[in-house]
Amino acid sequence: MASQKQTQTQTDTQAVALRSLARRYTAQTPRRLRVIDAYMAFCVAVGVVQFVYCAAAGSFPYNAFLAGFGSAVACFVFAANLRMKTDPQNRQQFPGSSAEGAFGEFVFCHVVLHFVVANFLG
Amino acid sequence: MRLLRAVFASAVGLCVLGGSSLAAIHVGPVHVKVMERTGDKQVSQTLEYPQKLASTPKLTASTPFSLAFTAFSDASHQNALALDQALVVMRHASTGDEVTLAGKMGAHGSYRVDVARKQFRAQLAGQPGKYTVRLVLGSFDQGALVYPVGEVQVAGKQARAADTVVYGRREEIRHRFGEPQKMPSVLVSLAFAVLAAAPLGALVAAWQRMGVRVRSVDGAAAGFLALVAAYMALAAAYWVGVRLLPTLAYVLALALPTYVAGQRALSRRRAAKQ
Repeated sequence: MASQKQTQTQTDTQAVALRSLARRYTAQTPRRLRVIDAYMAFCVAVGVVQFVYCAAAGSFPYNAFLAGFGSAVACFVFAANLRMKTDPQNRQQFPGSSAEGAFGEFVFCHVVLHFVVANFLG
Repeated sequence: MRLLRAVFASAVGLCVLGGSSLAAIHVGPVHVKVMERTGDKQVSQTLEYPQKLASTPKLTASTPFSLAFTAFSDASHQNALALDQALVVMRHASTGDEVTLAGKMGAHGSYRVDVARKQFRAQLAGQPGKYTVRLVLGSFDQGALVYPVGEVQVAGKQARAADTVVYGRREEIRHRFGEPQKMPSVLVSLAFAVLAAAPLGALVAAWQRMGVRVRSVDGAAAGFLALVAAYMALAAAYWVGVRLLPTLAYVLALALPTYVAGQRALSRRRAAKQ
């Protein structure tokens, strides 16, 4: 009985912590970064679905799996770069760069990446 | 190899004729193994000189054959001996053709000969049949020893001599298709296609909740995004069937307008912020 109560208390504490985290994230994170975070979550979700398919149904055609999964990973990495460069807290680390320049780099990398992916899809 | 063996045989002969001081080679237990594809042993026998193989094992490309032994300079097998020649000679019973395999020395005086798939295909598969197997060991100091180990049956197809000219109609070539890949059912594939596309809907919904509006995109940015979309469409067209060189030409054609549009759109945005 006592252990059940303790578990319940722990769950409540975790729920409160998560709610507080979500509230602070929404309140303190600039909208631009939240947009990028959503995109990163999208990349993760796409990668996970492809990985689950590969594990459950087989990796044939393997080149297509690699292209798709690699594309999800690369998009995540580009988005992480964009996030780092556009985060106002990181302004001192990237003194010469602007959010617009970072977005330009992001778009350029995506264009190159998608041609590589299309080449690899087969 | 023949020259080497002739020289060696002459040297051994001279030594034998020359004096009785030449000691003998003694061979320790000879381990003969023929493995099945599954990893089980078809034959695993340890022979003591001059014992022979009890059966005639069948060798194929997928049944590796190995023979391991240690040479000694004394009958009590105390002093291992590094040989100048350690060969396994396989002689075809009907044609008399010989296949000579050199033993690889491991520890001092210990030798091993492996006939794996590659050696089998290169040296034995072309001439199937019964072979006698002999160990031919030699040392310039200690003399020579020939040990007939037994017989093996080599499986395979008789190779046609390369210099034979065959006139007339050749055998029809039939293409053998590979085994079809095991594919999941269409329903599973469709379900995962929907699952893979679902995050896109969730992303758009999340962006809308965050207040991202398509209407807020101005003309210059719309042009830039349209050109980027053209690049994506070009990548898709390349995947579907457009060849590389035309694709590269289109890429080059789009490069300058995209650069200019991007520069203008992003500069304008930056200026508006400042």
